[in-house]
Amino acid sequence: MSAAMEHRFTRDDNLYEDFTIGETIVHPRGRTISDGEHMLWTNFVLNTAQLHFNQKMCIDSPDTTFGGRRVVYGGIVFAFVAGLASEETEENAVCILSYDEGRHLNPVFAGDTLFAESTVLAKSEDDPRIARCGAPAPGLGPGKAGVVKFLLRGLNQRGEVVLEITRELVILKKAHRP
Amino acid sequence: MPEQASAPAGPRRLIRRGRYYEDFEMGAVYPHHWGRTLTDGECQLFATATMNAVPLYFNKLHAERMGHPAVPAHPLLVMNVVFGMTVEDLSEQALAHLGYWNLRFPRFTYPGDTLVATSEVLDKRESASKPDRGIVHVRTTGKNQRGEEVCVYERRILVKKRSAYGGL
Repeated sequence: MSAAMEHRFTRDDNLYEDFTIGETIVHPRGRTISDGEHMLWTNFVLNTAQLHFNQKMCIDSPDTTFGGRRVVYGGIVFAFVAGLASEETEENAVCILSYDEGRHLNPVFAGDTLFAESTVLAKSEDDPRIARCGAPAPGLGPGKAGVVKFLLRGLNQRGEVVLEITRELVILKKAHRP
Repeated sequence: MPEQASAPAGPRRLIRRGRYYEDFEMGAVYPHHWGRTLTDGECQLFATATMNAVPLYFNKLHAERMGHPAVPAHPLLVMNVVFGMTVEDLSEQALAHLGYWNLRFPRFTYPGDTLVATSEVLDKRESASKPDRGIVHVRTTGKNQRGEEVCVYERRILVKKRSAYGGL
């Protein structure tokens, strides 16, 4: 076996057993969203809503935009907040079962800095979805993983919640860390 | 004074995109026409640029170890690409995107897969507080080139009324 194949690519402190119901994980990093960056991601996914990338339209229509400011596309706010939370929650996940009850509670603008927190809402080892998650990768045998349900919150530099969403991840147990 | 070219003499055809509140029909299904092939570079760029620190989405050895034939696309890239294709039909005239419900990923997506999206109007109602807008509730489904569902979610959108904003 080559050295690379013996190397483990995930941490050993974010497996199923490491999560305690009720605890809130405060993720270590923040991320400032820059102006051209959020426009680029909006265009990258072919999102054609001009309130994200047409400053003239925003200035001409302050009542139907965010006071004339270009708002950051929410799907990218979602992706950045999930990214900030990923190393502590998703690194040893086999798949994402669901996101639900997701709401953008405050707008995000260029220059804002995002932070993330994850609260452990529930854990389950006998969820039938575990066995068939991750298709087309092979399903997981019994006892290898469990479902952890988190409340993911994205906050800005003033501590205002910009995004709140629940998510269920299938996370490997310690004995099955790849 | 810079010299200005005069506009061509023929008729002008003004193009506007996006549905207003009145244009949504309950139960209607809108096929979003583009379709989008994801490349491995795009998948890797999305994972790293959004600081998604999950090696499944940027490390081939790890992805193979986890039983995958290739490095999959991060599900939130899949969601964003599906979402993006829906905007012209659903939310180009929106005031705000309110949120996501029941977002699921029945199968992974890999580089080379081509995604197509359709949306169904589940509900629409006028705003209780502001007469110029309404809320449209849709379910969007993203499928791959084999017709397999890869991303399904519901979304509520705050949309302008044509009567208030004088759309064409």
